[in-house]
Amino acid sequence: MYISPDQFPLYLAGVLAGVALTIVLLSVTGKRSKYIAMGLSTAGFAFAITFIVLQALGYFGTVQNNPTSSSLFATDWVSYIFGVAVLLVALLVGLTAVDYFSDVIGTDVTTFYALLVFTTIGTLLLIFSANLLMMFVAWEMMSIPSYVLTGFKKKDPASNEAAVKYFVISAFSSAVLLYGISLIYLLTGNLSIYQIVRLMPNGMTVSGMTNFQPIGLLALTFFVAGFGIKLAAVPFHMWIPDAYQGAPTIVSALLSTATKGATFAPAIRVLFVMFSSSTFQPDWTLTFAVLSVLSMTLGNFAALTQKSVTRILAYSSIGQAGYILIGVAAGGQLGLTGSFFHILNYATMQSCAFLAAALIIKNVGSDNLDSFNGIGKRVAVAPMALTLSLLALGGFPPLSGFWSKFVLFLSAFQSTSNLSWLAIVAIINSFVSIAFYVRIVKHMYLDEGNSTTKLVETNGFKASLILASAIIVGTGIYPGPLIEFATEAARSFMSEISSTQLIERLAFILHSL
Amino acid sequence: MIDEDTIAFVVLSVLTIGAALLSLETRQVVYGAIALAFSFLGIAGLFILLDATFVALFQIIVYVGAIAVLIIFTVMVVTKEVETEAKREPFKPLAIGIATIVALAVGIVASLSNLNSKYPVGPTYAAKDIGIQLTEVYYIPLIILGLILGASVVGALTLVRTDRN
Amino acid sequence: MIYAAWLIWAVPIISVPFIPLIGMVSQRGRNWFAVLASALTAFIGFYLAASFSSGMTESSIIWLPIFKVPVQVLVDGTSVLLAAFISFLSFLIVLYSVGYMKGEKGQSRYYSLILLFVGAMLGLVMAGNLIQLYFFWEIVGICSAFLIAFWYDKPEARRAGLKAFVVTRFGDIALFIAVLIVLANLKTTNYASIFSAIGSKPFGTNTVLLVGILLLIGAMGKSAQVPLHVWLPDAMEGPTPVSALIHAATMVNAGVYLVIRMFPLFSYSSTLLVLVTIVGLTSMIFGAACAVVSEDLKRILAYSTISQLGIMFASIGVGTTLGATATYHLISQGLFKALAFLAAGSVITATGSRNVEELGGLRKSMKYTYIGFLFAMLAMSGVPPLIGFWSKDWIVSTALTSNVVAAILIALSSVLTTIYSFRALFKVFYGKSKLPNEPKESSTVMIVPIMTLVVSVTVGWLVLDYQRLVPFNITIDPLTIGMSLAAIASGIGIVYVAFSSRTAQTQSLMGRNAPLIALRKYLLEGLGFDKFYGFLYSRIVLPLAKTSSYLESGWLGVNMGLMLASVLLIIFLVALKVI
Repeated sequence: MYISPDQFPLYLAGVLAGVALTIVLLSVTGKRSKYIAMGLSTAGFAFAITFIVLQALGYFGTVQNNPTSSSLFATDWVSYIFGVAVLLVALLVGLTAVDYFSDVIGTDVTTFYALLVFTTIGTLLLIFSANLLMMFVAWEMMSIPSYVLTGFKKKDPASNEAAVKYFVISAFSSAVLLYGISLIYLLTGNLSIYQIVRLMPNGMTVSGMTNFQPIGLLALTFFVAGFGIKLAAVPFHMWIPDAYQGAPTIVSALLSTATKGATFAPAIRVLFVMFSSSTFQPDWTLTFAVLSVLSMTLGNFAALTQKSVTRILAYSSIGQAGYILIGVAAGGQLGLTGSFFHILNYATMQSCAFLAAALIIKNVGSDNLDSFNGIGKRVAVAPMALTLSLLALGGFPPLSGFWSKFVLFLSAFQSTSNLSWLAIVAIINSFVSIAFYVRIVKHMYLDEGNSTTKLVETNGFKASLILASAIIVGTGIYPGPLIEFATEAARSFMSEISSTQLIERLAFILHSL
Repeated sequence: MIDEDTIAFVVLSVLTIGAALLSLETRQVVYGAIALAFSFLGIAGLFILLDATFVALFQIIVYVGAIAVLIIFTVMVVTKEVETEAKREPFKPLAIGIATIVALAVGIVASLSNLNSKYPVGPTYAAKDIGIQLTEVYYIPLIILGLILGASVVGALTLVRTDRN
Repeated sequence: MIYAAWLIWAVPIISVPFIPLIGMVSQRGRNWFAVLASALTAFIGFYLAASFSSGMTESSIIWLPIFKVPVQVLVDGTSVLLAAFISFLSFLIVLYSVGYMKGEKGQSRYYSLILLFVGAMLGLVMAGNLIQLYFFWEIVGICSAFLIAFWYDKPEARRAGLKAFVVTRFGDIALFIAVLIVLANLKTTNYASIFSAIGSKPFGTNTVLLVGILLLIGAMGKSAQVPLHVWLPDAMEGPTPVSALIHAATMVNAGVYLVIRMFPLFSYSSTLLVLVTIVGLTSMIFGAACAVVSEDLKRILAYSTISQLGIMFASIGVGTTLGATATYHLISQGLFKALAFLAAGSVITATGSRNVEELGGLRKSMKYTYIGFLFAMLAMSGVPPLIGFWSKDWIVSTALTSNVVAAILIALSSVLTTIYSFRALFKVFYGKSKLPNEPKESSTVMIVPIMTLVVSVTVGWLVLDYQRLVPFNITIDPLTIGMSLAAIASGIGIVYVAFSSRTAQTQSLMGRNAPLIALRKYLLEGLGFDKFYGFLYSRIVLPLAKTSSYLESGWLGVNMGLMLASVLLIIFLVALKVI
């Protein structure tokens, strides 16, 4: 069977859309439908993962499409690894939702699955999109169902507040992004990311302007702000703690990993392809270095004094965004490899942490640190998975987080723009972050709880947590393959830029002389 | 320097922004909805100014004609006339200040790029061209928009449905 | 032969998951499985040592695709000797644990962590590059923290575990930065490649100096050198076999090993060697002084470890023997310190107390334990012909030829060493028993390791002389022997006068003299570094944390306003670089 890589994302989205619509129809059949919905969505995600893997292996013909074509999609290694990561998170969340919402009526849980699949379609399309219009539509496809997911606990005021907050801020990010897109269209008259990069120098003839750099920079700023909001980078992080705390905890797992990962892919495309044009020669090293330092420092230090586990995890998510941005600031193949690799690891670590916390919070009824006391004696899998994922987030060997941080810090040391200071700040931050990660572990295992009754661990949660923990430990012991994938993805970017840009850059320099 | 286009632009901008502010600030929901409709009208006027008549018509039919009216009806049918209570908003002046500075900054950057003097009048698109673009080039986003609509309906139904056993 | 170098650390690590699994079926089976695994490790260690011929062999598998970082084992004299030593000592300690931990809960956790601890330490020693070393370095750190906090019912144990975790992280950061700098500059962290690159273009004098200092800080954290020593005395809250492991076989030796391994780098710059010497001498003196006043039996031993490790650092810094003296002393210290801890553990299980003031007169009731502790203290003071004599006097002899000041200081510290050793010995085993009941001698499974170590301490130097892995050609200056014998004699004399014949006068002197009281208090508090770190936390970290969370008001309007302001900030940042 041959599938054109230009069309591949459509097949993917089509299958999942079919699943989602079937689930919607199912919801009229009654309370038991939630189990069918869980089965269907799990099967859908698993199928999509297989589909992507087969495509990546060249089973359907050409592996990658020519990104400079007029296709709306870029089917390349970046799309594959991010797609698999996002689908994996969705799968993990889907496995736990029936158990987590055991006190919600069945048909509502069924619609939860429908919305989960809808938002996953959005994230996938966002990852694959190579056209600014497509990107914006996918962005909305990802966002709108996730507002509902955030406010899914209808009777919980915190959940409602979180949904409203998320909605308003997210609308702001959409608006800013759209502004950026419109400015780029103004400059170039085109919307395809891989074509704009060529058109930028010719933009002079399209608009007849000589001094368009300010407009381009303004657009860049708007893109940074729009993506920054979803990436939870300081100073666009303010909504994060409230939203993650108020939302159902398994939805926080989805928001903090799938949404963030899916935002990162187009952000890299826009920054490293579209804005790599010779006309700007934009040097955003300082910008991203500052954002990175702010995110790390604020996220990690604010987490120190928090009393709620979900808030700690939310701040940790901000801090981790800071690490990811190191790679963007450092740039180059190593920097991008580090960022990609860290996002992949972060997806499993953070979602595993949130899901394990979700199970405990559901059972003890509070996300307060003190209510986690002595949990280690009451259940087996959840605290173990939480400990593993927290230590991995803290960057301890032999867990996955260690290696990706290692590559990121190394990329800062290797960077041509002398970013050693950034690496050192990051390492100190990483040291500080241990304090609150270990604090949760201490509460779970070392402190005496006021109850010793055993808690129930349902199979859905168990399966999901064990799967995530296995990935964390496995990657930690043998990180080779994942690093290879990340390197491959980074290479596809760098070669694209170098081949199309080097000559133009030279020509522009000569021209300006 | 000041021609009729500029005057029209200023008037329409004031209408749009003023109506938007009014819709946010008024304590009565119905007035808010009506103000919103005026804001939409102002945007339609701006589109006409940009020679995008088709978009302007669309704006009037969809936003003013359908959405605003729908909102007004909903408000009148569903809620009783309640005045929302005045809340303490100590940061309002600050927020207004920051917003003004941002707007000014954007304006300054835009004027630095001598956009107004050098930008030639672009091609005007007829409704037919837009249709062709939508169905031949951007048909995928169009389908996705349909999916978004579906997802929104499912989400909205989930949120408004009351539990009854 | 080479596969033994892989197996030696793989065996204990692979057996970790089996511990809880077997524990579900049979408790006894699990304990003896752990003993079996460590016995197998020790056997592999001896096999490796016996089959080692000469030179340096490496074997590797690609691990990270970036810069082709491999997992590799480095087989040379030092690594094989230390691996054999560590596996042997760990085996004895695991065997001892079976008796010591009898009836404790959470033993599955205990044995899994112990095996992981030992396996990681062996992996660290056999590692062929810095990245791999760092990988295991961290695992060693985590395991030690969890083991120290093993009795989590006790708040002190939890605190001590967290403290060990946090303080050693200081050093870890430095080591991590050093590894990154080396990798960024040289694209490899293989030892041989590093050494061959020293002094050439990307790895010039300044870089070497920086990397050396960072490595030294890393080693100081792990090996508990002043001022990063604060975790070690508190680490006593863990079970005694754990202390024995940390002090004798694993954790603290990692730092010394790092410096020995990187000796070619340190010796490139004389500044670095002087720094190593200063760190060592400082820790040696402060550790010994704290040990003299401490009242907790295990704390005395802990401070003594700090002091002995200081001697090792100083001997490396003196720099005449390429770290061989330090290797020798590391093994010697490991043997007598393990013996001291196992004997102390035996005392603690029998009496339930660790305070030397509460104990006394155990000589008769616990004969074997007494012999064990006696030999440990004799070896620690450097009484010939026990192993401690050879290692210490060799260090002094070599130092005499190059750095007389260091040599004299080390010889003088022997006085303090003898004082604290014999003070502990007298207080615990002589005098009148202050305990309500007659304590009973410990079980055979605990006595066997103690007696094995007594033999090792006595004849170990013969074995070390015989082996050809690291050829120690010990030459001891007669002057040194005279100096150390004088130091031991004066030390014993002081102890005899102060704690045996004229106890009352000593106590009244200590009670009256204000500077002495202050000094004693200062030493008991562990040099006041705890206070300093507390200050650092409350004055710098906490305010930063509070400011950070204060920015988080939760008001939507404020959030939006700040975000708009941030857009401005970014415009500014972008403009700064470009326009």
